[in-house]
Amino acid sequence: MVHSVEIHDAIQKLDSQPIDLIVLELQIALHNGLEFLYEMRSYREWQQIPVILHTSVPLRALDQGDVLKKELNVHVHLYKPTSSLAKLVDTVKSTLLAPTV
Amino acid sequence: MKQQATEAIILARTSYGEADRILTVLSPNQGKLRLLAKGVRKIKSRLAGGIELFSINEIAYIVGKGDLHTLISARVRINYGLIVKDIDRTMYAYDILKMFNRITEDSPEPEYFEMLSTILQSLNDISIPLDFVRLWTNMQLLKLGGHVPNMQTDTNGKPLTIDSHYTLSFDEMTFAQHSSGPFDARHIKVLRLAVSVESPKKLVQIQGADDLILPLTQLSKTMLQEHARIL
Repeated sequence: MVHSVEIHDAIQKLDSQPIDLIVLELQIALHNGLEFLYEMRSYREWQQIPVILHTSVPLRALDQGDVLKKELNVHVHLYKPTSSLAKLVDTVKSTLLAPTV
Repeated sequence: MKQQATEAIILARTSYGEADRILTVLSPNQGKLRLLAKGVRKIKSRLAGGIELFSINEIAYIVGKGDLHTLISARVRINYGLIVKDIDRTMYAYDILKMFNRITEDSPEPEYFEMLSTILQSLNDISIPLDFVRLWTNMQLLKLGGHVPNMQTDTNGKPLTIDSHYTLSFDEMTFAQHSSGPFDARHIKVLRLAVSVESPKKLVQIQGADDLILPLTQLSKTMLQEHARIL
């Protein structure tokens, strides 16, 4: 497991090792998680990596939720204030076990 | 090998091979360009810093034989870094870049570059509410496409009056008098200004515009969908 708090560092880590799944907070220092999402999805080899949003930004605040799913291929949105850690762990497990297309 | 230099705004970036990127950029006088940026995935590449999104970049490139040119230098001249501090502004900015990539031909008029610069600059100015930027953008796109509604006379050819209410006939792009219509002289004044002022900042200064902005933004969006078909 690798951890990053800055998008250039995150891209560099993606570039240096195989990553099976990403858990992403949208509100991160200096930039925001959307930038990271758009950037990583612009690379063909990273377009299918599952992404779980675990964020304090509610889905209703992302007024283009369909963009998240269709274009940025976000698998699950978990709103931090109402999602337990156990729920996150379950989601990570089920996403990793899900058959890939 | 012929070299060119220009200002440019990145519209799109895609990966190409192991370490290269293909950039689609909009320039003021050389139109929309596709550039091969070699080695920019390597973090120490001297080009890496010059190809930021939401920026005005100064670039130089070698003109290719086809429509793909080779980027040789890039430098950020203005970075609109505050956009990414706000999730809604960031999403809108990405939408705008995608839209401009879709609607601009290979040789768009310089007005598109100027308009995109103004949109990014306005999104970077947090004193301008996002809906004002949306309204201004929509009305400017209608203007560039020649689809501005008639804001002088109604569907009967009579001048619009200060004490009447109106609906908009989307077929005719003309206001129709209606006793319970949602629009009145205040709305039409803001719409006129959204077409004529050079930036969204001017709209914010209109007294009372805050209360009108939501229905007007929705109206302008529907006009774009009906006529310009770009949303």
